[in-house]
Amino acid sequence: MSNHRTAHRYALAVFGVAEEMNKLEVVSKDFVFIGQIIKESQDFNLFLKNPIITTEKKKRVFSELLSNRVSDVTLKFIILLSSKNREALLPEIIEKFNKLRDEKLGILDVTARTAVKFTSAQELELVRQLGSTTKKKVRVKYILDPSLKGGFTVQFEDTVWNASVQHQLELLKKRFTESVR
Amino acid sequence: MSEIRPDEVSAILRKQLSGFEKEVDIYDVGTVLQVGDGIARVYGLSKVMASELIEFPNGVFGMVLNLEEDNVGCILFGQSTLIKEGDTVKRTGWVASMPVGESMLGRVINPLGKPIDERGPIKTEKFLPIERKALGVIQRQPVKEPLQTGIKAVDAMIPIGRGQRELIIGDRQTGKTAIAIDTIINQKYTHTVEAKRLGIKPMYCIYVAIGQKGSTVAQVVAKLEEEGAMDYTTVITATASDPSPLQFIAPYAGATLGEFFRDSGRHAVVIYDDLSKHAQAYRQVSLLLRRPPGREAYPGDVFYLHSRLLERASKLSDELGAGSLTALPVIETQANDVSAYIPTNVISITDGQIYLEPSLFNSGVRPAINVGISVSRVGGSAQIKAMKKVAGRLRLDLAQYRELEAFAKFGSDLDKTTQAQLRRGARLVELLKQGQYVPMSVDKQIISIFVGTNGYLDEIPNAHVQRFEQELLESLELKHKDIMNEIAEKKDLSDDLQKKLHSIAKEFATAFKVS
Repeated sequence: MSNHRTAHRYALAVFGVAEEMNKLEVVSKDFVFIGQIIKESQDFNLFLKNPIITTEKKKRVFSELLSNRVSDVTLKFIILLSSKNREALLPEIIEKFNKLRDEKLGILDVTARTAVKFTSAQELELVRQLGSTTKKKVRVKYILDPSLKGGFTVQFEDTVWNASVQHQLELLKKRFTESVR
Repeated sequence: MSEIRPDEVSAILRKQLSGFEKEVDIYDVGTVLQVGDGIARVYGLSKVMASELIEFPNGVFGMVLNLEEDNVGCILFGQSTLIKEGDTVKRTGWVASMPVGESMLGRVINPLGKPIDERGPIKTEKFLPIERKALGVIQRQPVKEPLQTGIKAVDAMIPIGRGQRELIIGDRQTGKTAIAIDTIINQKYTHTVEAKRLGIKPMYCIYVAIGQKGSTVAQVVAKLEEEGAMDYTTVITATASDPSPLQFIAPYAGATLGEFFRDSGRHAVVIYDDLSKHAQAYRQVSLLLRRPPGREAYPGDVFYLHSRLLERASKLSDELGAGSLTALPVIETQANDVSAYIPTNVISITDGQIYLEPSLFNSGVRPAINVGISVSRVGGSAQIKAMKKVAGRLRLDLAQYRELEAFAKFGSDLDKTTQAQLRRGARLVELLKQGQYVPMSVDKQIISIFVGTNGYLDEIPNAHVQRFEQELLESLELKHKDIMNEIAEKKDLSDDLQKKLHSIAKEFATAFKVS
């Protein structure tokens, strides 16, 4: 839980700097790139978390690996992280950074679970509906979930819109058992 | 269950299914981070309210107690083994509530209002929140009607008024619950036609068992049923094996049910048996929720825990229907230590205490009430006049007796007045002894104490005092029923009546044979 908070603080700092220097786009692109590396290379992941490798060595690796591929701000930030021995938090920081950026740009992450694959017309309608109720740009992630039996559920932040057949059946079951009792 | 006709089934099915294609269901969710020991930490649920009811899978409900920066701490009202990490939690939008109604009478329920006596569902129309703010000053009035416990020592010297909070405190095995049960049994007369004629309003009883053995609760229920006291009583129970969150909310549930009666202009008494276990249950959930411990490891708000509970006992003003909720909290002390944390807290909150002592209990004084340090701070104004007249002397005589008791072993070496005082005191102590489950009506109590304080027992050996009392009351019932009725009706002892009583007592004392 405490890591969670630390990551938030670092993310807030780098977000603030990037915004000030008008490099939000660049930095977020860099983070996407680094995120990709972390995802793809198990070695890099282990390297981040390894406490035996000295800070000096880590710094050297970072500059060699990233110097021409990412912007100055990002590189400086990562060097700072390693000098503070917080490089292991990098994946979490990226996650938090993305959240902050979405908030700033008014983008809402939405997970939609559907029993059958949505047609593009249905998808458009869903996006339109969500956009009009939340007053935000929505970025929808579709997950196919046959266990819903029919219909769909939409979740953003903590709120769920449940229009699945499965849920209706559960409600019906509840109503029946209650009236019997 | 009765048989269901097939056409009935299809009718119900059609009715229910017609509402099937409903709108989209919108609700808030969170994820279980950690679960165990009756508590859970939940991530998400960002808009949840404090003390809101939340729904876990498998029909387990919980209540939110802690709202923290990145998670929500809640207590579980079901088995924590049914929940696992990563489960989805739903908000209900309801503050924890329980059903209330007259149909709760005669039932044994759990703190959530679910029946556990296997007598079918309880039909109620109303839901009330378990935690409610106590009433303000304007809505209240001082207590004025008596709550008769049927115990001579209590009704005479530690009178309890309707709307009062009177603590019953003592070590284990000193008869705390016995006083509470006797009080419930004695309320039976308030539901009679006779009481209605005399203007005594019926009293509804709620017995809340917190952290007790299931067998003990079963015994209490059986006894109440045997005495016909369950007709106007509800038993709310969270036994020792129930999760501590349930034990924690049990007294609040009792207060909620009591408030239902109070707010509809009726009278109710709720017994919290006992609040030391309640404090322990609260300590457990608080420590598990990582709230900082204070004295005796109780959390800092354990005083508020009890004060907000007992503050809900009240006598309503006439504009609000003049209903009342009396609270009889019970506290178990360890080795007679009333200066421990919880006892001192509750003593300071309540309007007086009935103090029970093991040494008295063991020497045969039962109920083992220590009259010297038991008090009722407000009950005096609720006592009926006749009782006030006879009980004034009783208190004084007993106080003098206690002072001189140490000299009792010198026997005949003492001067006459001291000997007389000692003799009087011993008789009165004997007179105040009373069996369990035999509450006494107030008119009989008055006559007994009248005889004692006026010295008619002084010449009778200690061993025969109880027989004297019993026979006197029997003969009065047979020959002078009018006197008893007059006391019950007028609630006062006129000079004329006193004269009559003197002559009857004198006559009976001379005729009484010590054999």
